[in-house]
Order: sequence, then structure tokens, then C-alpha cells
Amino acid sequence: MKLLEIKGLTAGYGAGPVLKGIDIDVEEGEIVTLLGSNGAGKSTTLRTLSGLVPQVSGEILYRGQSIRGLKPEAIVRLGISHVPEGRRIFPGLTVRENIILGASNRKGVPRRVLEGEVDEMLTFFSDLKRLEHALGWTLSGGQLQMVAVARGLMAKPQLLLLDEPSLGLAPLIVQQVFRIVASIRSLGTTVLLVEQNAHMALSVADRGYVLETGKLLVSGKPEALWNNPQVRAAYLGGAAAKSA
Amino acid sequence: MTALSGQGLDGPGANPWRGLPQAVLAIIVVVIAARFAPAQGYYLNILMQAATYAIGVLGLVVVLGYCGQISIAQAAFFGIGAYAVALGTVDFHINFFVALFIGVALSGLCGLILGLGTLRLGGHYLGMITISFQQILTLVLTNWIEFTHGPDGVRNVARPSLFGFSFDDGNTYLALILAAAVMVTLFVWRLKTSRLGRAMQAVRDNELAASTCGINVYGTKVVAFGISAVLGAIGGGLFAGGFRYISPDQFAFGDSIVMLTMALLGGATSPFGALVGTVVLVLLPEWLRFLKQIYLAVYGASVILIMVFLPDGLWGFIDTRMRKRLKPFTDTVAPLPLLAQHGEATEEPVLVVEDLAKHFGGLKAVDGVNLIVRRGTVHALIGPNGSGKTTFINVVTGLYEATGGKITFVAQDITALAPHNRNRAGLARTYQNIRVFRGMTVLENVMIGAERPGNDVATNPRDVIARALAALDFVEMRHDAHRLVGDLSYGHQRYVEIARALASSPHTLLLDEPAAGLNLTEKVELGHLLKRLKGHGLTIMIIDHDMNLVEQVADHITVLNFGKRIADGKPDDVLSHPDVIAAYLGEPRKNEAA
Repeated sequence: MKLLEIKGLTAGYGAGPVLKGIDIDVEEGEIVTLLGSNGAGKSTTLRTLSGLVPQVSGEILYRGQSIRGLKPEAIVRLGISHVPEGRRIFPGLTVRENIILGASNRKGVPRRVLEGEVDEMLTFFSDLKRLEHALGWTLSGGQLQMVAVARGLMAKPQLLLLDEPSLGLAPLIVQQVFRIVASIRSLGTTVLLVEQNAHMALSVADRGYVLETGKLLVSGKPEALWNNPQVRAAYLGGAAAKSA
Repeated sequence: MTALSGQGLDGPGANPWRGLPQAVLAIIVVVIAARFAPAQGYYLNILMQAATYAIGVLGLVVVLGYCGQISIAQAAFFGIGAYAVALGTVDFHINFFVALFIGVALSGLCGLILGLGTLRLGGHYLGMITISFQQILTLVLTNWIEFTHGPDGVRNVARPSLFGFSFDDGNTYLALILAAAVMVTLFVWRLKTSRLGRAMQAVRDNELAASTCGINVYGTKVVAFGISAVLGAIGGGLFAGGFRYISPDQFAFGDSIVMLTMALLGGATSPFGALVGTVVLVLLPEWLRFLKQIYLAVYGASVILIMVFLPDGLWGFIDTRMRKRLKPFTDTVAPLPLLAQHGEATEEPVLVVEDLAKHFGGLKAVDGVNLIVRRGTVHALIGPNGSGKTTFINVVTGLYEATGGKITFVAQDITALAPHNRNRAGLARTYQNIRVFRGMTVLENVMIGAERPGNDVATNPRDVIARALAALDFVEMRHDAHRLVGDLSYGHQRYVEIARALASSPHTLLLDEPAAGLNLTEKVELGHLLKRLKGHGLTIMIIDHDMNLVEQVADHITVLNFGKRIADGKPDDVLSHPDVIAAYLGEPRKNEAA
């Protein structure tokens, strides 16, 4: 069954639509990645899915139900969790408190269980372990990014929207993050991933979509996209083209 | 005044006479109207009130709208001007204009003293101090009876005459006030697109970034506040002549709030907003008088509704719509070459950091780091997240004070220099968590870079634009020149920031994760750009986690971990160093492209 169906979606801010009629399907349990250059509308797609950007026309069906007009918090309750790019971390709370807040949507789960899950996150991101009680504002950029990803995972979402999880992370940590993304699937989570690191994204994804100025350019399996000359030229860059 | 607004948005033109013909035309219209369609009693008073208040509110546009500092004493400065004219002409029998000048000078002086004392602190201190100043002035005006006449106020304030021409007649005087209002509007409008005005807006949008773009943040705020005090006094002085009677209660705390509301309601970032806001708030109570008892409630509710539905004010609403219709920048200004020669690539030391330390309480973010950056090289600083790379750059650019150690830049000890002075010396930077001036256009952002004091490539306004366009061409963003930076995507904001740094033709460029948020193609382009720049003697220090980029451009790599230097040397040696692999890379280097 399709978990998410986006049909002819047009959406955007005041100045005119950023997305001009795109179609995206996500099957349950898949990892799907969105690629494209800056300003192509990747982040806007995720923001529309989580209710932060208004739909102009088209349809978003989640488990067959339209989510048009739903408020962001209602969408979170449906099981869609968004980790935005740019690390929106609460500066006055500790790392531990920031992470546990990600589970706000899971009513009725005992605090003890949640604390245990936070401990798991802190083992995943071992760099955060020693910073458990540090306040948000004292963290470096990359540490904030780790907290943001961990917080998103705490929601135990059915659909996780990840916007550039590797932004500003050291190579060692990038590998860890993608290992986590790949393992999320075994927890039953479906992932829609926006990533500039196309190589990494395609290495974990089941399928990919390439956007160009708000429209769908091409979609398919990672190998097909990786070998598509059009895509290589436009988005994967010279380094990738060389190794062809 | 519609003639002026017809000019539309502030293009970045360098024409020194811009707006003046429209202003002269507006003044002629005003004078003719006053002569042939004289206003009568009631309307005359309304017009006088609107015009003099508008001048005061225009002062708020400068300090609040442009510079982002909240002042709650505009009625006090208004009052200083009014009392100078009233007491000067009535009690001391001096010329109207001389009295007005004294009031303006006194008000400007008060503004300067208040500003110098509080603006260094930043935040809400100016707001608090201006409230106190407002209250003190009201007390003085009310209680120093032998000088100010106390609560009785001052009667029979004189109207001026100039070269034998008398402004005693109500309509003639109104024409004078309106002419002054037009000139002040022109001044404030032109200020916005001037270098000083851009500096103010940069300070409003991001103080840190402004300081590392060579802007003296403190000085700029003081000047903005001083200008607002001066304009307040001009408005007040003309007000006193208009109504011929003044008393302390006309310049009280509540009136400062009214002026603040006028600015915010109309849209504080534009002089036309101030005019619209003033006129609406002067007229609204008059229109609503028929409501009798409930008039105040309706008045308050209308103001709240406008603010809720038009948060940028009435003019801000119009302005946003007009901006959309602006054409892409197609002026004939030829771009200046970006690749100015910065001296020979002699590889002499440009930046020498000795034993640098920065501690936050018990945390040693940077712990005794030594580093030499040589001219014309690309020096990469890498390390795990939280290893102190950004803190290092922040100490080098002066945003943080060093706990210990010494920084020498081009043979000058800069360890204790303010950020804007380090920028003047030729040190430019970008930020990891992008710091652009969000309320300004792409072009204005980059122009601020080009206006770096000490940038000898761009010394006149035309060259500044040309330089900015060249930088925008470089990142291929010229077609977005007139868009607000805040509306752009993350990656494009990064481009704008890089363009802003390039436009300043620095000697040394510090890039904090410039490739984050760029795709592979864009990273490759960035790499080419950096190589070209260093070929012209520019020195670059780069922090980035993208090892492809770092390998491609770096001549030298320093690795930090836990605030300490763990490796330093040529890329091949450093990247195969076991400690670096263990702490940072995670697995031995292999060809990235699978």
C-alpha cells in the first residue's frame, strides 16, 4: 500500500508557487530521496507535507486520506515527523531535554521508557553522550545537527521527513547518520530524505526523484539515476561524472 | 508627496539628484495650494499637526525602521524643539530660526549623550533609558516653573519671517511646514539607499555580520539615534509655531507611544510609511468622533486590527507588492573584475596565530593553538564536530575575545582590535549558520560587502554597484538582485554571503563551511572559484567537512580535536595520519566517487 501519494502538487509562499505540479509516491517501508539543485523545491516539498507551507492545488494523500488544511501539530499526530534543515534547537534546554521533546506526540508512553530511548540515541550519537546536560546554545553547529536528527527520531514516526541530515557533520558522523537512516527502516519507519550529498543519499535509498525548478525531472532506482547522464551533469557534478 | 512615492522602491542608483525634482515639485504644489485653496481653522490645525508630527515620526523611521533600535522618547525630543522655539521667541526675543536651531542642537546633544551611554549595551537598554528620559523631561517642563512656565505652558509663540517675508498667516506657515516635511522625507528616503543607511539596516538585521563587514555597529547606532533626535526637534519647533501655544502635556509619554504607533502602523522601514501612519492616526480620531462614547475603543481596535493583518504596516503591504514588479537588474554598469591582484603569491606569513586560547568557563574550546597561514594559499581547518573550528574563526575575527595568545595579521597585532577594524585591515568571513541581512535585497547585502572601509577597488557609488554585480555574477545570482534575501532558499542565501565576502576584496577570506547546503556541481564550482582567487594572491582559510572539496583546494591542512591541534601539514600527510583518521575521517581514504 502506498503510504504517501502526492498528486499534481502546487504549493508555495506569497511570491508565487515554488512547486508546480509534482507527483511523488512513497511505499510503506521505503527510503525515498529527493535530489535537485538549490531552489528546486526539495525543502518546500517537505515543508508542505508537514503543513508549514500552504497547498495551492493538487492533493497529498497519507494512507489514502487528504491532509489538506491540517495544522502542523495534527500532521505530526498522524505519524509524520519533520527534521528541518538548519537545526532548530531550543537554546535554553539541555541536549537531553531537547531530544526527549521529540516524543511530545507519543502520549501515554511512560517517562522511563522515553528516557531509555534517549539513552539509546546518545549511544547512537556517541559524541553527544558527554554533552547530555549541556544547554542548546553552547553546542557547535554539527552537534546541533545531531541533536535535531535524534529529536526527529524520538517521534517514532511512520513517515520521517529528513532535510539534509548531513549538513555540517564531520565525515565520521555522516557515515553514522546514514547508517542510522538505513537502520530506521527496520523499525518500520518510512523515510523521505532531502540531501545534497547525492552519493550518500542514493546509497541508502530505494528510489529517488530529481526536481528542477519546482517540477519533476526524472525518477527511478538509485543506479538508474546515478547513471542518467542528464542527472549526472546537472546535480551529481564533475567528480561523479569523472568516475563514470 | 505622491510624486515622491511614484519613484517607487529604492533602486540602488548613484544619481545624487534622485528624488529632488519630485520634492521641488511637491513643494511648489503645496505653496500654490496654500495660496489658492487656503485651509480653514479646523483643517488648518489638522494639517499642521499631521505635517509636524510626520517630521518627528520620520526620525523614528531612521532609528527604529532603519537601525532597529527602539526609542520611546520621540515626544521628548519633539518637546525640546517646541520649548526652544516657544521660550526663545517669547521670553528671550530671539529670531525663530535661531531658536529652532538651538532646540535642534540641544536635542541632538541629548540624543548623542543618551546614545553614547546606552547603545554600547545593545538589546532593550535604549528603550528603558528613553522612557526615563521622557519622564524626566516631563517633570522638568512641569516643575521648573520660573523657566518653562510650568503646567500653564507658553502662549503667543511667534511665527517666523525670512528676508522680510512673513509667515504669520496660517496658510503661509502651513506651506512652510509642508515644505520642511517634504525635504525631511526626501532626506530620510535618500538616507536609506546611502552607505550610512545601508550600514544602519545591516546593524538592524544582524549586528555580528555587520561588524565583520567593517561597520562600526556602536557608532552607527549612535548616529541613527542622533538623527532621530534632531528630526524630532525640527518637528517640535515647527509645531510650536503652528499652534502658538504649548504645554508640557503635549510632549508626554503617551505622545511618544502615539508616534511609535504611527511609525509601526504605517511601516517603519520607509519614510512613506511614516507619512501614511501619521496621517491615518491624526485623521482616524477625527473621523471616528461621531461614535462619541465608544470612539476610543473603536480607535484602539482599528489600530490593533491593522497591525495584526498588516504586520509590516500599511506601506509595508504596498511595498511588498510593488517589489514583485521590479525588473531584474539590467543596468549598463559593467561588472568590475573580481580577481584584483592582491600582491604576489610570495607565501610569506599573512596570519600568524600563537598559542591562542579561548575558554568558556571550564570548557577549553580553543586550547593553545599555533598556526601560520601563508599568502596566496588555501589553508583548510578540519576536525570533528565541536572541536573548536568555528570558535577559532570567531576569535580570529574578533567576535570572541581571546583568553590567551596572540594574533598577528599582515605584521599587525590584531589580538585586541574590534571586529570592524579587523575587517578594515582586510579580513573577511562567512558564517556557518548563514548571517545575511534578511530585510535587505540581495544587491544591498552584497553592496555592504563592497563598501568595506579600505576596499580600494570600490571607492565611488558606481564602482560599489559594479563590484557587487560582479560578485553576484560570480555566484550567478544577478537575476535575483532585487529579491529580499530572507525569501531565498538556504543554498542561495549561502551564495549571497559568499558574494558579500568576495565583493569586499579582502586580503584574507575565512570561509566557515561554505559548501554546506551546496550540491556536488556547486561544490565543484566553489572549488574552481577558490583556486582562481588564490592565484591572484588572495589568502583563504576554509573550514569544511567535504573532503573532496578540501583535497581539491587545500595547500595546507590543520586538524583540531578538543580545541587542540592534532595534525598540521600537507594534505596527503595529514589525511593519512592515523590520529586524523581515527578522530575524524572514520575510515581510510579511498576514491569517493563510487
